Amino acid sequence: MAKPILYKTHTFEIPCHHRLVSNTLSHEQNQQVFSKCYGNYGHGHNYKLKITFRYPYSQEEPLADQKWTAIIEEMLVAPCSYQSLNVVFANWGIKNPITTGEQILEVFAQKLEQSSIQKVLFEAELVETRKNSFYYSFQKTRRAHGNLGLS
Amino acid sequence: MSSVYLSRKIYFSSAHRYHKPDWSDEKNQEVFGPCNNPHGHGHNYELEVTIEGNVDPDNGMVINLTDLDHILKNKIMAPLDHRFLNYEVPFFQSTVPTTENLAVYCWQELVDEFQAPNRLHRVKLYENPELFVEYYGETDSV
Repeated sequence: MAKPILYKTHTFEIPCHHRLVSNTLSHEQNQQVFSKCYGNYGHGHNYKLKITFRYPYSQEEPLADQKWTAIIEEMLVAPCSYQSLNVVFANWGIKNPITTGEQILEVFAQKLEQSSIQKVLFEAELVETRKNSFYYSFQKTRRAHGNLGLS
Repeated sequence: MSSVYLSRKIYFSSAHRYHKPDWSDEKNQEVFGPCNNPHGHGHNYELEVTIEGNVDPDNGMVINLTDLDHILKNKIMAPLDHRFLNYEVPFFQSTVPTTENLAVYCWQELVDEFQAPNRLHRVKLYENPELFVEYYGETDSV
């Protein structure tokens, strides 16, 4: 029987510390570029990471996505929650970890793309505040346009 | 003419229980955990229905909202709102009422209700504000 192709989106909360600073810029340049985000001790956000899976839904594995969310919890949510992203990213081997929303999302997305769930990843969104959010597309395909026959 | 997409949200509350009759009690418990508890539990679902169509030059509408609301009331609200899905909706007597299957059910109930050039574009079903499924009518073997 043909399986429906579904898009399912899970939301993960990742509260953490960060500070915007680039080690290729001087103190004055960092102040100029990052302003209050370059405060001496940093600050934090309740980040929300939304991951959309695209997959054929199987009645034999009705909760297949639970395995995938467990991998995301282990790979990203647990190591980052209640930590400093600057420190975590440095420990992950990133040389100049500038923890802007777009950099955070790119680092998260690249880790996920190297994992076993790569095939079902469709989109990621990182919500930094109510005013800021960032999108990442794992696939080049657009969403379905049904009868129009567009791809 | 260019397509315009009109979306309407409706809200319904239903009980359900994850249980596959063709699996043993042990396997149901193992796979579904607390969602398999015998008396079920419930959610406040939010369904966003998106219709693709053209704006009618005579009335400025893709679809008359009164007509759309009538369809949603008959096809979704009446059979699902304040119901126990496993017992009161025939489709879910043999199919596990996961958010995924419920989204597919809503699609199937609505897809033939619109007249060309209008068509159902998407159903987006929220089980809670942080978890949702979208379905565009695609299958894996077309």
